[in-house]
Amino acid sequence: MTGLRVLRGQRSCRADAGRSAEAVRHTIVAIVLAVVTAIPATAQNPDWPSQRPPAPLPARDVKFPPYEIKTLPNGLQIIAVEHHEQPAISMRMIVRAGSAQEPPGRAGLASLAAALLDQGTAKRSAQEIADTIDFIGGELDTGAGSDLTHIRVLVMKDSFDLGLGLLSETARAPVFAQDELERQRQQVRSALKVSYEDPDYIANVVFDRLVFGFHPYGLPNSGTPESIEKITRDDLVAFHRTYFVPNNALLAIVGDMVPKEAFAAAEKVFGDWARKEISSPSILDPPPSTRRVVVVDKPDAVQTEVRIGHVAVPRKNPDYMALNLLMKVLGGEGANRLHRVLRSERGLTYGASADFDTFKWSGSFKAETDTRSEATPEVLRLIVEEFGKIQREPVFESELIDAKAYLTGSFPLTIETPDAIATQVLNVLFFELPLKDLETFRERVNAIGVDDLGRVARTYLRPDRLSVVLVGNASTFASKLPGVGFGRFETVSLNDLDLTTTDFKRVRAGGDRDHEIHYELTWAAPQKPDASKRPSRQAATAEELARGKALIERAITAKGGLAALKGVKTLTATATTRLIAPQGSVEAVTRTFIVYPDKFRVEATLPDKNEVVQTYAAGKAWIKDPLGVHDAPPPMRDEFHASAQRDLIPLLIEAAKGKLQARPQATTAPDEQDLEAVELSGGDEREPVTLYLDKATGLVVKVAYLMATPVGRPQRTEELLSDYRELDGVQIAYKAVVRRGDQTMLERVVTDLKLNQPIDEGLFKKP
Amino acid sequence: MGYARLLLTAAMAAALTLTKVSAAVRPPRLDYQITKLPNGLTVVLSEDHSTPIVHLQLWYHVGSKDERPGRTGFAHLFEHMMFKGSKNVDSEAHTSYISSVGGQSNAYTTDDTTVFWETAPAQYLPLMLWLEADRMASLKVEKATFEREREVVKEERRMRVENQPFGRLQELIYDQAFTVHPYKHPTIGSMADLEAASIEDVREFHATYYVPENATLTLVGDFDSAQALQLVDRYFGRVRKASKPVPRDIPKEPPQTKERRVSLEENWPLPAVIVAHHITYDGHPDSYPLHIASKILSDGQSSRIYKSLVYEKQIALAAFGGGNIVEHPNLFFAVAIVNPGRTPEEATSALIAELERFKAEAVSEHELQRAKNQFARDYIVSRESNQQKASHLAHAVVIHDDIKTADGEFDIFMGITRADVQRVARTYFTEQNRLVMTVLPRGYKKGQ
Repeated sequence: MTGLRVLRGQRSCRADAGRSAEAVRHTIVAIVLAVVTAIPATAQNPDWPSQRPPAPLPARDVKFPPYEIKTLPNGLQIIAVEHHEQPAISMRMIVRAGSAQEPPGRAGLASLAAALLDQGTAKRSAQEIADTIDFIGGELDTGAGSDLTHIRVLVMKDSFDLGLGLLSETARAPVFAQDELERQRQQVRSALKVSYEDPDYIANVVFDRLVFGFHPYGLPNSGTPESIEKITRDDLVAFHRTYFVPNNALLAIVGDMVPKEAFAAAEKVFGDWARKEISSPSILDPPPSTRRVVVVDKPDAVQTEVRIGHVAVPRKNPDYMALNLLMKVLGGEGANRLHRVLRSERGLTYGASADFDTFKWSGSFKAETDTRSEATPEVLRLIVEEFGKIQREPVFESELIDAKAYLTGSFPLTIETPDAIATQVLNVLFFELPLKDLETFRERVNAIGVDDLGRVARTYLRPDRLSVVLVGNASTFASKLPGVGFGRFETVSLNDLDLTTTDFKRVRAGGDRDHEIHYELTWAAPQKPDASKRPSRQAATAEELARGKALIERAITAKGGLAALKGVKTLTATATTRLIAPQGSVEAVTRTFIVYPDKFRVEATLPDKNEVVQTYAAGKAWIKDPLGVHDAPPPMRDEFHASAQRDLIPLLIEAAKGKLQARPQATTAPDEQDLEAVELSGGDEREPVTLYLDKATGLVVKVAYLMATPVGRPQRTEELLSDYRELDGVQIAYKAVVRRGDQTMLERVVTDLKLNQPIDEGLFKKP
Repeated sequence: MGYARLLLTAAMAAALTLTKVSAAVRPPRLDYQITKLPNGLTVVLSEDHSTPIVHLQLWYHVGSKDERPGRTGFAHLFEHMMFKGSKNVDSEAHTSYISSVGGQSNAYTTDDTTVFWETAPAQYLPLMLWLEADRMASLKVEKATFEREREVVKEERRMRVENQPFGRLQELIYDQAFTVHPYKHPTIGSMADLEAASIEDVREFHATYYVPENATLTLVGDFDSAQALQLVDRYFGRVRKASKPVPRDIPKEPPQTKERRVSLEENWPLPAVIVAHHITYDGHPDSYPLHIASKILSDGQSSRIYKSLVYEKQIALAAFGGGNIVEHPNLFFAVAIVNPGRTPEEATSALIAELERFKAEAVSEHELQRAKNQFARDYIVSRESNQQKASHLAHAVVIHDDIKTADGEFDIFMGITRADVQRVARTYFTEQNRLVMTVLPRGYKKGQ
């Protein structure tokens, strides 16, 4: 029964749970307030000595505590942490399936599935499960997040087998009875009704939608009032059948037992759980950051909830630690500039913080605070200023020292209880990080310097592209936003709020808009792979160079000969393009206009009739989407540029001119038996491209290159070309499939294509 | 509570235990020592060497129930002021010192107490003691700082209470249920009173309540008790003894003589109904069966309120209840947030029916045993961290005035019988002692 505890917490003004603003109560020592004029509150200790803080006692060495890991033959990974102080055992199962795995239009499915796990299994009804766990004085709870579902069982040690049995039943054999589904659906409906009145909730979900778009992280885990009505029992059963398999799960057993006994007990109830391969999800990157300000108007609000930030990186990014420290300086333990500027210096808020949230596939930077309505514009200005400052100027050495000292010093606090230890091990396994990270935590923190913070600030922060959400009484502050530099903003009334539309507005009855779901084209926004990180190789031998040249000549001949390629000045094509995302695929009709060598325009019409235009012309790139016309962010512009360079026609012409070095490559993969490979490179400014020629025809059937992914490590991307047809003496591939890793990202089938049609240059001009 | 009364209760409990063997797992006892410095400071030490950290908890026996009308919210506002600097520590530097060694620190205020705490790597025990002693002895108060902090607290009130659906629920219940006892007003206070607080009030408050004899210092963690006691004495021993006794003249709430029914309106998304009864204080023999009744009523999905109102009848989105068992007599209340399509009247009747049931029939053996097992679980899992252990020890000293209750209450609970639960239900769940409150969304119409 958590309700009463929450209420008691509020009454006591306890600030140690949840959004713990008090926990970050902080400012740098350097602020010299006018303490000279201060009067002691008490005259009882007039002779109190002046003193410096005392020196610490000798420190005791601290290591990450022991734990054991065992993987069952069916793939279930089990962690055991032994701890005998209290006669209790806690168990936690994590299944790698959350809202990121929901099919389109079914937001809330993972949470609903989690809520139903303990509401009836093949063995017991919902009430029998409740009676069983309550009677033994245990606890059982389930829940789902963005990337995972958890089941937690706590029992006293004499009920270990019973508790583990219940965990196994709820994970393996929930029945998802229709009447239980309706009961839970009603609960979610009512809960959403309450949440939609809660400015804190609204600010967070609108922020996530702004930052992640229609990426699965963009919609709330709890679903929306619309999506929750569509979920069927079949959806739940399919979700469970697909993802709840042992090779997709982790189990931690913690407390008053010995690991050997825990592993044996787990094997007894999970050993016969059949392994089943699941296809790895192909999750597109979130859209690039764009500056956008959304005001959600709640006229009865007395405070404005403020969220400011943009997309970041997934947990498994090599710059994670530097970014973590950077955000600590901005608004975490240590310097906490936001807290100082907003609370300590101005009393504008109870608390302000900057969070660096990282998930499996992406993440976000988010500054958050709340303030009285009329102070909203000032708070907005101050936070945006701090984002700019930390991006432009190096942080003070002392600030970094404080943030590092906090992180390294806090290490023993993070391993106090056996559950805390297990959480750390689970995290590392879940995010597929090296286990040795647990022991090297302090070394990794200490390795970061001021320069690292400067580098990651410049690389990842975009103060000019912040998403801003303000939930409050708009009439008290909206007219003053232009005065602090925010002339463009959108206002949505809370009653009209719809998270599934591009403009956040609900379509009224009789409206002509597609009510289902509005897709935004999600574009990869990679950073440029770092040329200096390319593996250095020996210089090519004369023999290699000759062989490379011959391969290029063969490719040119097969494509129609150099003269024919040089004769192509423009290309106009219509194609059906399918973007493949985990929510399903989005099909768009695209029209492409190319003026060689370096201009292109792609127009895409999406299922909801929205149109997106992307244009690149000699170094300049712009986009038109439902939000309007704007410049493409630099990473996207760079990718457009690279893509223009990779077009086979200019690429082969450049190679023939000798401007690119051609070097044969070994073909090793099984599907490359009948292919010959040649790598084209041209200095640091362009990423090498490998062409794969069909041995029989000489046609290029595959183009491969490295593209940076959000995980940071550049990943190999392949375009598979097929269905070659001749047009004006040139061979053109009518079908292309783009793959990254083993996932298909995009398929394009040309329906109509013409060469050398006149193209209006005005198409490339930004309106 | 007094020591003699506890003995009586324990003896009673022991006699009753003979009739029923408990199945609950027994938790280990806490290992501690307690002492008092000459200036009146109570010191509790409990070693735990499993992780090299120390938790410090300093309880001042002053909370919002010590506030006078017109000065509500003062204890909590003062808690904020304790971070604003003392003779050797600059404003806000307290938290910086602790976080710069990787520690955590915070404070909270309740009706009965104000608690300051730090957790840090064990070698920083001298720093923690030095910081707490410095602000106990030499707090500095500056007008500008005070006024700015008052704005912060006003934001805190807006954030926690005014800007959240159901944020004012508890405030409304207590305002209706009490007439003169300060439990009537919320710990965070009212905006008007916060505005009226003056710098002189701050000084007076510190001199009155922030004195050694009104404080209990508890340390749990990786230290040697003899060495720790020396350090405590070095930093706290020099704080002067108070020159006057701590006032305890808190007005008593007169017994309620007839049922009260109220209906209010708030900007909430759904109606809420509340049924409340005045009950006794923490440590009174009746408080233990009342705690058991709370568990039977509302702990877990097999509990009575959840099963009836949420699961079976689906009247409520959420429903819960229990005794708020604190230093002075407080309330036992149950709340239901009414689902769309259901009426506040049926929710009220259902809640009253559940409370009446405790009087009409004894709870089953099965339910009683379940409640005891759940109590044992809470007892065990709330003693895992150093902070949790320190809270139990300090609570026993400050609220019960008897540190032995930190361990002793386990046996009392295990000895509670079905008849005890029925007896306390009949004592407190009477119609004349009842408040029935309905809070409707503004403009709410029937059938919505």
